[in-house]
Amino acid sequence: MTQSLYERLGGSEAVNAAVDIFYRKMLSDDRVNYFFAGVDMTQQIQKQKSFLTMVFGGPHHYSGKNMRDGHRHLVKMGLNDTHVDIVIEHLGNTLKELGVKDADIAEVAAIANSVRDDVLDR
Amino acid sequence: MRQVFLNHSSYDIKENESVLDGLLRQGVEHPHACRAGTCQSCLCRLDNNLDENADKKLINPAWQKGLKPSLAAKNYFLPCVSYLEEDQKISIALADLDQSSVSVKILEKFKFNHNVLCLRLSLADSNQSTLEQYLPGQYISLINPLGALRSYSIANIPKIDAYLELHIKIVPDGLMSQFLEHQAEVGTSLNIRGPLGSCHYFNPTKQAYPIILIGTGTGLAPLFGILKEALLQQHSGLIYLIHGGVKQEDLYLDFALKNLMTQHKNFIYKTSVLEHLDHPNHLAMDQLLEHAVKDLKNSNQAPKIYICGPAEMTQKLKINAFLSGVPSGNIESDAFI
Repeated sequence: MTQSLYERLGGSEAVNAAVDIFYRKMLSDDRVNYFFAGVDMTQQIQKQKSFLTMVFGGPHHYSGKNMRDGHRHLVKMGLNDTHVDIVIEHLGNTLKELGVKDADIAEVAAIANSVRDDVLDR
Repeated sequence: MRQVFLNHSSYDIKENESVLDGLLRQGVEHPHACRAGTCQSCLCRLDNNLDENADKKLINPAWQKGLKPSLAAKNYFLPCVSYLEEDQKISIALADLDQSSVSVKILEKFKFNHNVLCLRLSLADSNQSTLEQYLPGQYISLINPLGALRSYSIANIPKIDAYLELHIKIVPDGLMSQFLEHQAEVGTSLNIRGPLGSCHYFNPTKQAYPIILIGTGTGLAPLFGILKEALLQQHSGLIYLIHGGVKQEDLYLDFALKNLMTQHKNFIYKTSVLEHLDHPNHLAMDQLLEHAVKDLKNSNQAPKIYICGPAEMTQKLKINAFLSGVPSGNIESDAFI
């Protein structure tokens, strides 16, 4: 029986292992960390877990509309393709640190890319 | 048209606008504070004048986030997290104190310093199982006879002391703190709601992880409660408490905490006073936190960190702790608004 991407990565345990690594990279990167200024870290970690669950191919409740509504104020602040690229870069590095195979990393990146237009509201 | 009926007036609510925001936008002075569903100041009741069960069906469970089951059952909800569907119309009533709160009396009242008041409250219903529900470090909403509502943290162990201890910061124009300082006296009745919050000691399997408690001003109140609980339960890991203030006087439990250090080998107390920061060897809060986390890197368990006090400082220290390597799941906080 072939496992799904989410199962191969390790399901919710993988999300928990990845979220701290991923969010630390984001907060330490001056090219993107200002988008999180004033945001409560605990709440943001929950949102990052949902995001990671989604890009790991797991169950999620996001719709295109959610993604647009959720990021619209950031788009007004200047959120653009470069920032999305940086997020995907940090995602990839996080998974590399966790020993994930290149092929699976590429699949995760593809899912992240598939919501690019929704995030950037275009 | 989304509408809310309150006190014989009707208010239009916009799409993507919470019920609370809609009311405030139109000048209704509805009690509120955090606007995030954590303080329950805005608590009110849905009352469409149908029977309670029919009214219940109109409530979206998301509107009742964090409410005790007994309140949810009576159709109470939090308008700050409530969003109406298209054309939904609801009628609401303010919270009834008898239904939604518990009666308390002032047992003792004294000042630690010029602007921190200690208030000890006895519960009308003070049997052991009720007192046990109030955990040191959690917070309650205090409601005075004029209807002012403010949240304060539990600074003691109610099940041992048979009272709740609150540390009140006295603010010049503060409705509640001015009332407590100048009008309230021993025997005055008030009401409380709660307890709320996840900032409390929880170690059922008696692990020996290190604990770091950090806060400024009256952020010390919940930390002091958690400290006493941890020591009572003979926590075997190291416990650091870092307290900060603007002036030396703001370290309002300095003497008691220094004493505790001499009585407990595993308790370390550090302070940071803004007006002394130019003195040699004096460190700022974030530096003290970094040092504590570094010191503890040798212990084989990640520390559990509790951060309490004014919102801005709390958020900053949370991020510092996280970036220093503390797992996000080990960081608990209570940001005072």
